[in-house]
Amino acid sequence: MIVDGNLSEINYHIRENNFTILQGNNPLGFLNRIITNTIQNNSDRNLNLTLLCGASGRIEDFLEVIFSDGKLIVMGINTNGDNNRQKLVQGKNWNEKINIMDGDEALTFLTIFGEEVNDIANSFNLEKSLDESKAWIESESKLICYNNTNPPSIDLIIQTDSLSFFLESGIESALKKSSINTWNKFCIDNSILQCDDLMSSPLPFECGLGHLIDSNKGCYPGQEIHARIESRGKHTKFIAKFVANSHLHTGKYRSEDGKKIMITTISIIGDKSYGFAILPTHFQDNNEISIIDKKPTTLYLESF
Amino acid sequence: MGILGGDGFSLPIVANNPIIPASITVTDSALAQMKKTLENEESTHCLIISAQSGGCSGYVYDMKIDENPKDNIEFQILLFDDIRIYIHNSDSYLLNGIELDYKDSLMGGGFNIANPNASRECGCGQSFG
Repeated sequence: MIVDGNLSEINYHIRENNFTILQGNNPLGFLNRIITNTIQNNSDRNLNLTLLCGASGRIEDFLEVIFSDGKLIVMGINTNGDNNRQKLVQGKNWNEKINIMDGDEALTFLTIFGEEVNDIANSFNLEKSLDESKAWIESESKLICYNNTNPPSIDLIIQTDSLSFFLESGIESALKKSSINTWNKFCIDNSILQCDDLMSSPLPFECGLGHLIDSNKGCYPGQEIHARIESRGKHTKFIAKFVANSHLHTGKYRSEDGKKIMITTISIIGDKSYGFAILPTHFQDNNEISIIDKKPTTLYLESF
Repeated sequence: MGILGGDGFSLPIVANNPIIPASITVTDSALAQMKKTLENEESTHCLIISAQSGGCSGYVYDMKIDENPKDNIEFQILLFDDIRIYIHNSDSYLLNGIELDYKDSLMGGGFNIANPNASRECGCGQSFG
């Protein structure tokens, strides 16, 4: 539960996602060759999530595929989209008529969050469909999605050129730029992964994204490794939320028994730290872990 | 008007792969098999070798015998005796240096490609990275 007073306000956070646009003949078939599941044009955003992995099976990017006017917007959480685009370009067959475009500069993804977010949506004239809370709605050069997060939020993708106009009109409606700390707390509470959570190049099973692997799909980069890990049950790490009664930072820690713990996201509120940590499966059944810091510290774990 | 539309809204197209002069090696057994397959059609048909994304290691090879492409300006044509192998410019970067071999075996036989530039290859031999 969110206890931070800042979250009672209406905040916005500009996210650092990368954008690649695919246009041409069957861009979805082209994309499906290299991702860990098979994406179809589904209105539910959760079914348009996928992973781009390397041959070692480790995550290179966590992608969302958005369908717009016959084109695909492939949005990744990695701050550098060049790697994705290079892979796509190199993997284009000579007779595939597909353009791969760089949308990093042209598009901006922002999230507005707060208890009264629906009020601000009205003042922005953001269209809302009653039963499409998990779907993108395209309206006046914007993509909008209402999320049942806690507190509620609105995801927006807009043309970067119109960002300052949009924010100026929002400031009049008491929209405030979120601090990183407040944004991280929102992400932790709602299990939203960011680029930093993938900095250690985890395997999908290690960061709560194992459900995005389709073991019936056949070959894709990393599939051999995923199949082997799954069949042998050799998951070595998992991600968890935690709260601690002291101030921690992102990075490596050791448990009292010497196991490595990686804190990937942190939010400090009062005397407490909230965060995501990637932990050895050794701790999977634990509710708390003692770690070595300046003073004895306990991480109280919650499932991701 | 959608998010990707509007006056003056355009996106940069990502440049294609670098083009390099492709050089490949064809073993005697592979050449003999190609001659057998293309017998009497050497002047009208060719072997096109290409690569595309997919497979366990990132890219998969594709080989097909086809009529000589009419629009061949973007292909590099490699001649082995009277057999033509076509490699598209966009694949030259990935396929330069490969060796095409043929194994006459009931199990695991057929054409094989060895790629000295690949950092890893799948056990099936069709995927590389």
